[in-house]
Amino acid sequence: MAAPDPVGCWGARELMTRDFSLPITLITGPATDNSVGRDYITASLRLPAHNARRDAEGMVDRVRNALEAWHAGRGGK
Amino acid sequence: MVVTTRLTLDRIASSTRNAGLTSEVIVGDEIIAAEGYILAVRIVSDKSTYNTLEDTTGRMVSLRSGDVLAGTLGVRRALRGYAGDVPSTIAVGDAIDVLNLGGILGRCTSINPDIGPPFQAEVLGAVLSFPELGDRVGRPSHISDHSVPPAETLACDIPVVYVVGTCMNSGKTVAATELVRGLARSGMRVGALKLTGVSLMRDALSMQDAGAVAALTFNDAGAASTHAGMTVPVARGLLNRLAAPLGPRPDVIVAELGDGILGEYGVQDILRAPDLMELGAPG
Repeated sequence: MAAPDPVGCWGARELMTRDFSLPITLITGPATDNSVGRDYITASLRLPAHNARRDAEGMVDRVRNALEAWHAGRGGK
Repeated sequence: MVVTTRLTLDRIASSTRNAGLTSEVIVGDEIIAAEGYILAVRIVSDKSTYNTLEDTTGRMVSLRSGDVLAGTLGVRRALRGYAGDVPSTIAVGDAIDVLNLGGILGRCTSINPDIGPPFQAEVLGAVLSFPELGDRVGRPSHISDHSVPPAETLACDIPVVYVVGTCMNSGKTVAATELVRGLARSGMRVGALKLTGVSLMRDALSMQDAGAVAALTFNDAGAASTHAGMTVPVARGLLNRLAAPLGPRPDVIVAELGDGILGEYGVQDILRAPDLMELGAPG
């Protein structure tokens, strides 16, 4: 999920949970540009936050873990 | 009887690419006013901002008053761009607007002050195609010609990383591109999709540049732009194409959903499609 600001992050989680019943793997976008947004996302929303420009490695690792879990849920690759 | 004219195009917009146009075309005066049909128009204004066009190679080229352009009729609903619709009727000589960088043509209904009014153009005619060798009677070209067919059933078992956002310009394409790059560098074969939005090759090309073995967009499925009611079959068709036995067969697919989860491009339909979400890797 990409979001520009904390309100967008909060709204995204609300909509994804309430309207779509879907989890968010991580939040990225301008809301994660510095620690202000990242701290809000991780502390208040309890979601991972990775900036795609400055922490691409962390974002990719998080997604690779999700892919491994997806394969494990289907009985391995 | 259709009156036809031979024209030389100065610019061929990327949104028309399925039709494989060359610079010499024949246009007819009977125009079907519906999304996806290709028109020839003459630009009649100049602009100092937002004044380029993406051509069929993905290159951004300038657009100037007097240029003859082939573009595609379509709808746009951009929060930070233009909103516009396909008029109910269109005739030669009518005024029409260029609604995006990919050459989507329609009547602008709302502008964003940051980019000013759109390029205005005069309609010259419907670009005709002659699909059978030796055809003497052309038919109006449509971007569904030679496109990936939409599908009612999903035949793909490859995991998909869906990249969504709260609105336009929220960082989706940067994230999708970095995901493609990182996953490809880790040894995976990565496919890339852009499933919603308005026609532009730029994002798919960016994902290809980052290492995607194949990148498709809804335009490859014959859609000028997306909206509610059509995105799920388009997504299934594109996923099926990537997963086809003779296709690129990626290990993972990164799928960007252009615009936001509250926008008007049909993102919500995809998020509510159980078969598509089943492929999602939420973590």
